[in-house]
Amino acid sequence: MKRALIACVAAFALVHAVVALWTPVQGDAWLHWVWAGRHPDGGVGTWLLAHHTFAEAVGYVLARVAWVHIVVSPLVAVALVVGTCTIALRRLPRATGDDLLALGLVSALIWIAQPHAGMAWFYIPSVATHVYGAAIAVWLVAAARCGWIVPWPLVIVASYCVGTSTRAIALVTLVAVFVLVRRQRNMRVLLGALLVATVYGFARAPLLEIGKILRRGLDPNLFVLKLPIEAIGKVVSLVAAFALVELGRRVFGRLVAGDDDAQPDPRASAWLVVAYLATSVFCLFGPHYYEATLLPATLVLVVAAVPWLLWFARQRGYRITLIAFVVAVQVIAWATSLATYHWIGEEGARRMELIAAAKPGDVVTVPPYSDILATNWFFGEDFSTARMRQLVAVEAFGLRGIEILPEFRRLEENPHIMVELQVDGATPAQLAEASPPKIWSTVPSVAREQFDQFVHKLEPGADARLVVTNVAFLDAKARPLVLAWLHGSELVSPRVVASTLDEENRYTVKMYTDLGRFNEAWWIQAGVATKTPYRNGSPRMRPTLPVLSAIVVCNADRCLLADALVPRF
Amino acid sequence: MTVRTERLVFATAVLAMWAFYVVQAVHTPTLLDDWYQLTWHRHHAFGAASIWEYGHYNYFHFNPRIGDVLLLIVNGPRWIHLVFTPLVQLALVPLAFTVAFARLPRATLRDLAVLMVLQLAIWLITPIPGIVYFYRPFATNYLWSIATMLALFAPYRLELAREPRAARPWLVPIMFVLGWCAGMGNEHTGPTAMLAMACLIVWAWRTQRLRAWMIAGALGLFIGYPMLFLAPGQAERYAGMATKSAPVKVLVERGVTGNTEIVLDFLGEAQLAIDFVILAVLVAWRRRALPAFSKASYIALVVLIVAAGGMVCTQFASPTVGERLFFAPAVLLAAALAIVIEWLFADARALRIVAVVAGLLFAYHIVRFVDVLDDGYGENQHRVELLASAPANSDVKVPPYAMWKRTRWWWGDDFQYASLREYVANEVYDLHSIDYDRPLHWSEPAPPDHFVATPTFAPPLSAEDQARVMPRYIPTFWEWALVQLRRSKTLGPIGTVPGHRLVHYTVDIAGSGLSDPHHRPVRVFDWTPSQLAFVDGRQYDDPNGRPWVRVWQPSVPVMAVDTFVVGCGRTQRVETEFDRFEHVGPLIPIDIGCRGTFSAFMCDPQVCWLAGRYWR
Repeated sequence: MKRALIACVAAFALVHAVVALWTPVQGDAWLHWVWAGRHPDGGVGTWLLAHHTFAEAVGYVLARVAWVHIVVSPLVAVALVVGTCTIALRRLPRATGDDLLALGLVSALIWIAQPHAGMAWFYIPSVATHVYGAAIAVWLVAAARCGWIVPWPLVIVASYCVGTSTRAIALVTLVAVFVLVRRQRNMRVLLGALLVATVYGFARAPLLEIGKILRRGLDPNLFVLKLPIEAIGKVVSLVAAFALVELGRRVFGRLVAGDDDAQPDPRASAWLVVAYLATSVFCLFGPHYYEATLLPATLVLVVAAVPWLLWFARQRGYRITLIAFVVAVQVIAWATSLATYHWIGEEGARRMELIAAAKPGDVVTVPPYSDILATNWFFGEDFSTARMRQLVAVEAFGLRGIEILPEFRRLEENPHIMVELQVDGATPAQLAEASPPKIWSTVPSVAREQFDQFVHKLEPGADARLVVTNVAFLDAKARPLVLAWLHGSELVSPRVVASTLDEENRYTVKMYTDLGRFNEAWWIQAGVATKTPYRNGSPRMRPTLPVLSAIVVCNADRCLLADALVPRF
Repeated sequence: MTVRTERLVFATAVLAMWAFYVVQAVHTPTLLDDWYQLTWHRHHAFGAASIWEYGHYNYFHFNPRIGDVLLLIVNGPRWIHLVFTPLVQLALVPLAFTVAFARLPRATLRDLAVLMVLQLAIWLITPIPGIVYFYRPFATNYLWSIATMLALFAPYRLELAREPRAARPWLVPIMFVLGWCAGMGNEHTGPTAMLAMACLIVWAWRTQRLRAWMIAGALGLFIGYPMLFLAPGQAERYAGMATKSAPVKVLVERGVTGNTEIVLDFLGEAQLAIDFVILAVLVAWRRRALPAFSKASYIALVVLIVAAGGMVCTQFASPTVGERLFFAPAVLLAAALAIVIEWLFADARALRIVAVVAGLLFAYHIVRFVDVLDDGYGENQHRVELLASAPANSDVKVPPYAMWKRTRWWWGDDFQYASLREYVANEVYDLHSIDYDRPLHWSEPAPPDHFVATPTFAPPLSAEDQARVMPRYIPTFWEWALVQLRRSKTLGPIGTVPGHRLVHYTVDIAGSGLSDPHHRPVRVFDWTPSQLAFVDGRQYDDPNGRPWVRVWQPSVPVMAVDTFVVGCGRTQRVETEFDRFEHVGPLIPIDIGCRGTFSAFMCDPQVCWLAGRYWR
């Protein structure tokens, strides 16, 4: 049985390693490449300052150092499964058939209960943020549940990692540990360290988005909660099906599964189901909410279900059914993962080759991924936004741009805003010291970030502005049109986000800073400027043509191009 | 609490529930399919002859379900809707209770709590309870239908659960009609119901308790369902969608993954109710105060779950799935869950906890139903007043509903369909057009062209006579132009001109904007008594979100030589592509350069055919 156990764990790790080998850099993982591009000479200190949370540090390492992802991530995934199993069993798994089944059940239940399980297991940012954090968390909870004494330095490091992974992981761990060890004096270090780390984790990210969630209203929130409710369905239905059969056996006086004294505690199970639902609701409060965010809730549910399934498994018929279920789920999940990531890996590698082979200043053209939309397994096309393409091209690889051909519906066109840097009051040497970008992005938000980086390195006292050169804005007052400016110590470089299309075919261009500096707004389409209400930094436009549309906001002295886009209908 | 007080509380609760349904009936708006009934009533006096004519036409040419005839009736004089709809809605839960427990509900608090949980479970499991209950077309087609089915089975359950009683021959005709109505109710519930009925009959026969009325009910069901399934109207409805989607073909095309998705979807919808019951079981079980589960209850529990599963699995072979089709299985699953809850109620504490939690959820649903429908009805009435007060043949602008989105409580804004706006304008209010008063991304724009019909009679009609039989407008959607022809052929005037017979009917497009170098006529369809020729293409977004018009392969012109797309004021020649995802037929690519309607045309050497439209 020991060999079987080792073989199963090795197979699990191998599949994860192979998929990790094929997994392309995608989505938020590119932001680590962007960081590296922006800090070519950054030392360890700079890196640590920018990546002092566990999620950020692991995310960077996995995105930039492929072998770590290939070697370490599978082991972490194994640790997550074994740790969860340890919590469910209240002890470490042993090399027995029962415990092998328990491990298999944990893995299979995660596969069927976790929304977009393939993404949660393999998409690099998700692995870094959720799988790594949860793996450490389950071992902390396991220590508390089994009464293990863990050396305090390890406790502090592990607590820090958990507290700075995600809020949901941190809070669930804290509550679980509190419930398990609140009366044990020798566990106070663990509890205290977790509390401090959790508070730190909560404090450093934006506060809970309570206002946003409440403003959204009950019905939309209930709609969002359909995702975890549906996810729980598969596990609950599985347990309920066994319970229904067992009830029938009892009603008709057949053999029962086991003596009732060995049956799992219904009260604990009920609390775990409540904890699952509460965790799912808590996940709504962000700061980000997507399928992988629900991993801690999934683990809670698995811990609730496994003891019942193992209890049923005492009877041969149930046991065979459960073994068949575990084998079927694993075979389907692994086969699908390998098949999917084989071709995704090829496409990703081809894309990376093209980008890496391009000369600085080039515009490189890459084909889209075969699957544009996200699936249970794959992130989908991550270069659909012009901002992401420009960030990667300009900041990570020194290219002028990345284009995608053939085009697809969700592909956001680059607005191609050309800018020119103008600096007053700085000597050529000071200007060179500040190292202005060789290539300015043609997407306003990225160009503004470049400007922000640049002016922070500029000597105090100098003035700088990023002037827009290719948008015809015939202003009667002849005000200059800029993207951002620095005047003395006053930096005006607002964060601006364009909404998606609203129900009346309008885009709202929302400014998050510098709202009070402007008081009028213009919408420019095909060179024609139309005045539009400023709406306290949230002007709107209703593009009718698939050509450049821009929002310009003005005050008495200047006009600022807030955002520009080429709409897709 | 005394027995008398319990009865009083029970009666008050029933009365309150009836009052709730009456309020909802008063606030039921006229939406989507309701408009089509209004047209019928506009041209036909309400009465048995009119209903028969409508049912007859529907059976042979349109929706053959009995629910559509019921819809016509409840859209007739208002008192019918106000009286009967609340009664049927109210009756559904006691009927499900009777089928689940093989007894009628008693006027006790315990049964009242079970009825409340049952009603709540139905609302929780149904994906769109507000629409199934308070949108008349769904209510008559699905809610009335399952209520009829339960009404058919309830006497069997009652009879077979108690001591044998007299034969009651007077029940025979009633049960036959009930069985027939149940069979004619819905394509998705029939097979499971027939199987369950066969089991009941065999059981009754083997236990020597078979009665004539049982056979009559079964006979009605076994006649009604095949009549529905094989109705001639099925082949013509939705432009013959059923003929393209043979059950086995659909089943195979959907595959294991697609069919599993249907089951998982239903489980997902049912989950909140199942979780609620499981939590209650865990709480009650811990207290170890529960009696043994009876064999009869267990059998009923399993049969109801299997029946619900059977109805879900029937959808494997159906071209449409989910949402409203989950209503019947939702009722059966709710009844199964009610059996478990009733068992838990042996523990007084469990009863209290469940009653309080369910009561809160129940109250939330009531408040939402009333609030949403009240708002929706207000907007609907405002719209109706605008339309009714507009001068004939005018272009009317209406504001969109604030609740334009479809939710679980409300249908949404039905005028998002350009075909419905055109229909309501022309058929209900004699207007030229209806449009929204602002641009909306979710609203289908009205097509820029118009259709022209040319009928040919043998012997030919004079120009004046021909003008007299022509409709006042031709719908600019080929499906509706075809429906108009069929109706006119069957119900007049085109098909009922004395001494003349329609031998040819073509519909062409005027102002299509197609720049065809060969100047071929642009045709929508070509009808003769022996053949109907048209190109069946529909708007389609592939899994990557790319826009196409997808043409059903058998309808592609035999000698197709050119394909064009007209949109944004220009004509583009395009090449069709292979449908690698679903293999329905050629895909016509749409290049979206603006908001509006894009019309696809496939041309043979003589004629260019409208091959479908795409809008954005």
